[in-house]
Amino acid sequence: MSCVPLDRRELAAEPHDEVLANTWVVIPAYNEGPVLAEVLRRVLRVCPNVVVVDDGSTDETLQIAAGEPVHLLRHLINLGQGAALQTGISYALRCGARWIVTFDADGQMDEKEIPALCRALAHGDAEVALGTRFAGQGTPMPALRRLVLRMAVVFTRLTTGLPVSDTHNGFRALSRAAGQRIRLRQNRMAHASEILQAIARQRLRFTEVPVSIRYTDYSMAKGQSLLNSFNILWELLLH
Amino acid sequence: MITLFKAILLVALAVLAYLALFQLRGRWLQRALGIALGLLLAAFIVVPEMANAASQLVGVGRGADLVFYLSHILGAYFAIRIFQRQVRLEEQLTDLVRAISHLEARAPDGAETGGSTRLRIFSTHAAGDQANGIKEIQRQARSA
Repeated sequence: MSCVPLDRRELAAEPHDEVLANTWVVIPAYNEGPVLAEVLRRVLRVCPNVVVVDDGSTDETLQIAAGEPVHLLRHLINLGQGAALQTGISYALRCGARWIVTFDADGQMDEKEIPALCRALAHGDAEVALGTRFAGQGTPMPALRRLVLRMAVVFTRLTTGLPVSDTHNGFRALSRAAGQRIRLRQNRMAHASEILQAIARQRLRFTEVPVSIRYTDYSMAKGQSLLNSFNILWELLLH
Repeated sequence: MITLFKAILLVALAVLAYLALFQLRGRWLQRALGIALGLLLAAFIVVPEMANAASQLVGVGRGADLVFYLSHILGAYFAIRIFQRQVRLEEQLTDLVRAISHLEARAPDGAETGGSTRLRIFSTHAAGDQANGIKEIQRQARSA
């Protein structure tokens, strides 16, 4: 499976309004009350179609999302990020989305990079655009995290054969066809590997787009522990 | 000769066999295997020398070793079956929770949702109280 080369001039250009008007941003949220309102306002400035899936939060996440002009779905119980993403993707497809962007609720991602991801798909050369932290200037991150992510990339390349430079990066865009063909069964964090496996198995054309991830104190406290990589391996083995 | 301990083992085996056969209604192959296994174990309890003879026949030493190996294989088989069932249940639960979330989807003013609004369990006031949503489903089911 080859990676579709990027045309950097196209990525830099402003995407046509029609592209963003048909793009849906899916944001799974679990107990993201402290940062959610700000993240949603920032994303809404770029893209009008936002789906928030509250994954059974126990804080005020649901009320905060309800105060913003977004499509709001709620899991009655906490199922995990993979399940929330699939719920949001299915919903966006039912609403007629032509492109779907997956975006984290913890404020790590830069909404200004959403158009670049959509632009990478709009010409139809690729069906999936994967955000990568290891292209271009790269994202500054703690050394141990960089090492674990590098090992995950080697694991992904060995198991899927995909020449990816990043893995377990939740910032990505799917075409409508890719959204319909990828069916996430991993409810928790192993869904990122599952998406890559689906790309390899179904021979979906993909491209990588450089993105920057901001490692804030909040997201580092909230985000995945590095030890969780063992849990992800375990989930992949069991399913 | 039937000692008191052997009698207790046989009664326990009979109870377990009854419960297992009750659970396996309609699955005739599994029932037949269960009956065969139960009879084999009963024979081993009544005539322990049989287990010794059988183990020598298959080359695993003592009868106790044979029973040990068989019980491990059976244990692993049941563990896998239970795990498969748990995965299936989790998938069904995910589908159910997802379907409810689509039915209860809330769109921004003026926009259409990708679901319908036949259920009314979505309440921003119920956030954080997962039991509330489930109680509400039960309440609606009773009043329907």
